[in-house]
Amino acid sequence: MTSRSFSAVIQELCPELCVSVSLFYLVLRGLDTIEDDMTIPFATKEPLLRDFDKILDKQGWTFNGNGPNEKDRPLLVEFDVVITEFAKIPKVHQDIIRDITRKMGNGMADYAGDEEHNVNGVKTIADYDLYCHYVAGLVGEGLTRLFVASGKANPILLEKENLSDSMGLFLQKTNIIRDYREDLDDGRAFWPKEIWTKHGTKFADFADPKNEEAALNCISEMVLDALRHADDCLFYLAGIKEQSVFNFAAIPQVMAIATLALVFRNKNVFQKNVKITKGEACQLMMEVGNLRSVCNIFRKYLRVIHEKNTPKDPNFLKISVACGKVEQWIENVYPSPKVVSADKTISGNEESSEEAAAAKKEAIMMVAAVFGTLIVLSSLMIFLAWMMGARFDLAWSHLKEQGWSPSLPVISEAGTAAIKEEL
Amino acid sequence: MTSDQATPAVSLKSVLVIGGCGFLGHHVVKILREHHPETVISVLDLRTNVNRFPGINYYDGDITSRASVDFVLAKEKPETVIDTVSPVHGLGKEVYFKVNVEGTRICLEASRDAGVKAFVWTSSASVLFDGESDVVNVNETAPIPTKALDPYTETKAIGEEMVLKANREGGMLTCALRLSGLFGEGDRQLLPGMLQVLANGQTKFQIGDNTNLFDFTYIGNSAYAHILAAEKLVALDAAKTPKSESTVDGETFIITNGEPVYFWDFPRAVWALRNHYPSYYLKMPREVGVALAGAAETFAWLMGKEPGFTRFRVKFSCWNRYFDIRKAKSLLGYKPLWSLQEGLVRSLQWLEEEVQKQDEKKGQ
Repeated sequence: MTSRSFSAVIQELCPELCVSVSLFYLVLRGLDTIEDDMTIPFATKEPLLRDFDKILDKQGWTFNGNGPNEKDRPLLVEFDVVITEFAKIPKVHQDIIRDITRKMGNGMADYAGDEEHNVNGVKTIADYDLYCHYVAGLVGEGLTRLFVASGKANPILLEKENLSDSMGLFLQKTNIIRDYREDLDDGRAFWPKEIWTKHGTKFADFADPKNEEAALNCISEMVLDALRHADDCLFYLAGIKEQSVFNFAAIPQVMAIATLALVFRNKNVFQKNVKITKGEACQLMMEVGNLRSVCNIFRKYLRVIHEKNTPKDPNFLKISVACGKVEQWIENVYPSPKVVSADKTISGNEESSEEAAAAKKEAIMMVAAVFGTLIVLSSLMIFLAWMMGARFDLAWSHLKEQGWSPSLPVISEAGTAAIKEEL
Repeated sequence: MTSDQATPAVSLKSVLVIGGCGFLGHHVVKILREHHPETVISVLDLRTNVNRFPGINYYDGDITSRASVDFVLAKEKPETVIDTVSPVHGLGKEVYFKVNVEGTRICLEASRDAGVKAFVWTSSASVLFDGESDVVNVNETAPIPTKALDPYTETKAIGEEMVLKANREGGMLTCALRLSGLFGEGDRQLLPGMLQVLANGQTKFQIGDNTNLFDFTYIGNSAYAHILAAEKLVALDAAKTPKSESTVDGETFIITNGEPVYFWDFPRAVWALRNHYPSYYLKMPREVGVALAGAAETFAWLMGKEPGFTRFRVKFSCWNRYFDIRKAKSLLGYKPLWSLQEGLVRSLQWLEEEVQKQDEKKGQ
């Protein structure tokens, strides 16, 4: 009920993962519901966030402190059901979910208590990465540990923590970029100052159509920052063995790259919510089947970004580099078939003489074409002139009478005579 | 990047840079001075009156003369030789063979006989290019085409083979670096060519769909790779470490910026840094471009002139031409010191300063 985009893919997961991932989702949703609710005083909120992992072991626990307008309030009012189901999943899954919940709860509590963050938003790109790590990167880590514990993914994904982190960051950053208007209206700012202050003095200024150029350059730099996670995402997906887990992980990523291509240098982002169409979303879901098709989707949307890129953008070349980097990563994994040139090598000498003959023939053809064109054009011009009333008959008569080398006085007289006759 | 320079793990006692006053060579000398201030550096070049630095021993000489090379080696006794000599494009076949083959053979033999420990040679990634097909993410395992693109490429391939074959002969360790798409301070071909297009008002033309990737390389990074290679060879104890796939000696390495970009994006970035932005682009399919170039070549041929607009150039701007440099990263520890953007900014600043110098000379 609480997830429109993830519920479908969660249900597609294999049985032993489906329940655990669903519970993981609901637990984090509960955490998020407490964190998001501005009607809960911080003094009440903080211990709940920091101790939420322990709450998972308190049978019968519920919470009715959410404001009436908090849309996921029912989840916490009936959280005892979640706790009951949590107790039934494998212990190793419980431990993973508890660990992530503890880390995330602490992170959220830190941010909730951070006056600087709440009033002024995110400062540096490093802060931005850290924030996204807490709200999304940890989710990637937790899911990865669940996948590996179930034998559905390569354990090497646990060693390369940056990969699962990138999966989370890529999604979260895409959402943050896309949600500029929504967050602005809510009085929040998640775009890092390190980026947007290069392009404007106030975060709200980008919504003013007068500042369109600066706004486009700014969102361009935001997309550039997000793109540096793209090849890690593909790397991560290469480590997944099981089909339903692959689909679960890949579908959000292709949605994200499609969204990045949509928001890149898109002025509408600053005026309203921008989304890929439902039709496009459905097509992406159907196209995701294996790593190769995901790579093709990524390449397709990189080309869209590339096409929209403009030299007027201060990051023009860097965006080209970022797209090229992912394309090269794809080429490393799926090399283009190479053209075999052995035949050409064997007949090298023959080709030389053939090339010479071809060049000569080509030259003759070109000369013929040129003269042919000249003749055709000349004929056409003469015909058109005649159609427009040129008196070639008079000219011809004069030439016959006066010869082919007229002098100036003769020309003058002839001209005058012609004019008089016409008049 | 100066503040980021760490002290190298390996010191270089003495280095002779052959071709050290050339486009690439003088950057090798420059970066060598910065990274290894204690090293005794000498330069052998045909002419040494340009691109000079203080504290360097300069020798005019001819690398195709064994006596000339022996003289410098005897005087300097370098531990390392970095041979960057490379004649410019457009010369005759005889010159290329004389310099790239005979000259290289002389330098190799003379260095070996003089007890040089490490020999780094500048090759070209164009040895992997047959002039007829894409170069897509090619690495060092790709075979060298038997039909060379041109005499320059042919002689570079021969020279490279000589260098690799000479490895560990007489105790000298060798390697070759294949460079690609060089631009930077001292550039007389690539960037000036693009600025000429700007001056001619031809920036709106695009041939192909601009989805082909190309590796342009900032000269500073290529020069730095030579120093890394020298460090690795000097640090290698050949007596203890037999030759294998994981040793640096006897190997060739492709060196680029590691940042392939869509072909037309690079010249457009150049023009953007000169505040020029075409208001629109005339996009011509590759086939049309090839046909028009063919016509232009025919016309020039009939008139007995050299064509500027050729089928090769049209195809070149539509080909992929980028490389996989993971071998250089893992074995040499190579990482570009300057990004493509940084290299471009530095290069255009240098060009601007050069123009100002010319103007000042005229003003005098």
